[in-house]
Amino acid sequence: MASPPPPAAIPLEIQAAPLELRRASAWLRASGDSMAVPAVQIDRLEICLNEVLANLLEHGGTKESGEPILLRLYTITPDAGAGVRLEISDGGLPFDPLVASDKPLPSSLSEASPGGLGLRLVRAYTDGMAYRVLEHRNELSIEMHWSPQS
Amino acid sequence: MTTTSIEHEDLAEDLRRIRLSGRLDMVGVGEIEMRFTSLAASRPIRVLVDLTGVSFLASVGLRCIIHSAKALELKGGRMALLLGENTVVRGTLDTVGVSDIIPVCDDEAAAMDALTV
Repeated sequence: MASPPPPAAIPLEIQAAPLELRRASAWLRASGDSMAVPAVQIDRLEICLNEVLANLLEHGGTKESGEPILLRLYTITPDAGAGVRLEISDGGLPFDPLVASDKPLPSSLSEASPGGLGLRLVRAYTDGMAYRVLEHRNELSIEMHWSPQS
Repeated sequence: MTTTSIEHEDLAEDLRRIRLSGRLDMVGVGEIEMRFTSLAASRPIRVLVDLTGVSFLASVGLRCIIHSAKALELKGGRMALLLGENTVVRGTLDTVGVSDIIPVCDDEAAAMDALTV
């Protein structure tokens, strides 16, 4: 039996600029609504998207490359029952967040370091993450899963 | 998308409330960061940072709060965060361990207690 066709993805193209992060957030919320993604998953996915894009702007060389950032959101069917996958594709410097390690949590304010907070949030909130370089572009996939009854 | 705002009120000579509202993302933090640091960390006082009206807190906002809390502590002051029912922001603070190093309170009375210790 032939496998079902992949679900239609909702795309967005943005430039590497701070205000574009808000356009991406608005797109994600509207797209998530149209796919009936629960509010908790959308809240978490929005934080992940914002952190990944902020990292691209600050450290990823995306601004310098002049190439747009491409976003795609589509539904998936994980073991949990329901889910969405967000793909973020950029033409900046290669960076695999799966191999970067988290810093230990600080035990006091004086020990607190401002770095690494965004990556920690992404790792904590996502239910699945994958990274690859495809045709000279970085492609990061972030998944959110939930039970349809939730 | 909500805009970002900052207001403050001096409740006593050594006690200031700073109310942040809206989105603390890259754009929002850029709008309030200098004023927030100036209000929160320029004198050795007790600072209650009210985050009940914050709709989105990104790591750039966390960095801003941590940076000011550290500077305030070095001056001999103290900061507490007031969240109310803001579960989204609470989740972010808990995930990165901020609630272990800066008192995070559900109501104003608890925040005042944390600042008095």
